Amino acid sequence: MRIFLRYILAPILTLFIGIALGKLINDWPKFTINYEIKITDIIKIASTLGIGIFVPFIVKKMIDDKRSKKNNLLDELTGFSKTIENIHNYINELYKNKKIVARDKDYLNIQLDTSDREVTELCSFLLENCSKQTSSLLEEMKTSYFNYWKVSTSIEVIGSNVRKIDDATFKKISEKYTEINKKIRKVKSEIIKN
Amino acid sequence: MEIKDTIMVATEFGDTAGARDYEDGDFSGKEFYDKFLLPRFKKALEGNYILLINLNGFWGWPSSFVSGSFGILSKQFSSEIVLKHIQIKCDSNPMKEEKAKYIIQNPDKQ
Repeated sequence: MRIFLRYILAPILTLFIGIALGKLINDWPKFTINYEIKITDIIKIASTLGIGIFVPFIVKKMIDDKRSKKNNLLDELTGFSKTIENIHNYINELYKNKKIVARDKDYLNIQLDTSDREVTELCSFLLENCSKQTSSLLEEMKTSYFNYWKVSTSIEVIGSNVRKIDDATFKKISEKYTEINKKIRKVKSEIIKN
Repeated sequence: MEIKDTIMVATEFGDTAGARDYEDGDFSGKEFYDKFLLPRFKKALEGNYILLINLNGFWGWPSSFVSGSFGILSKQFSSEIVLKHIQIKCDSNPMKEEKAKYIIQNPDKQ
């Protein structure tokens, strides 16, 4: 039964419907077809099709490019944030262990020297790719970094007589650490916004 | 104004930055200030030229060293005069220059 419907009845019905439609179009008094085609019409159709096909591709590519650029910028900031976090974790351990030796002081110097290079590269990369608003936030972030460097390599930490990081110094360092994280978050949210 | 004098810190003073004062050990910021920075800066001031501080090959840059040298200089002569007569150069880490400028501009700020 199904084979009859699919292979015999359906084609016959389609054929009759086609003939009926053809007859209807041919006899319909208000319905005429102009078989002449102008070259401008062909161009119009081609350009409409072109726009229809390529615009979504171009727009999608632009959106993807912008998104990947943003992701790159955010990754750079996350990398910097991680470096600062590592330094701070080290200081945190020194504070908890109530002991700091010459090698720890050298280590802090090396780490901050390394992070200097990271900040330099990060800032030049972000300045090239960000808005004016972001660059002013970037300056604030850099100042916070200087403040963090100032307290974490101060005489209270790297002085040769210093044997442990005292409470007041650790509090100061932690405050500056919080401040720099806040600034990094601000830069990140500005990048996401734009 | 042109550069007429250069302190090659790594060769003239030492290749590693210490802490702030003499009692904090060798190569302190104060030692650098007394023996190199202050006398050469005074000459630059008198001769009206720029003193270049070349930090290439100089290891470390703790804030205690910077405040013990450039910070004191800034307190004594004002940040404007110091920045007018001093240029700092470090090819491997340009951030050292910015940090020194920050200390010069904020010698008292904690």
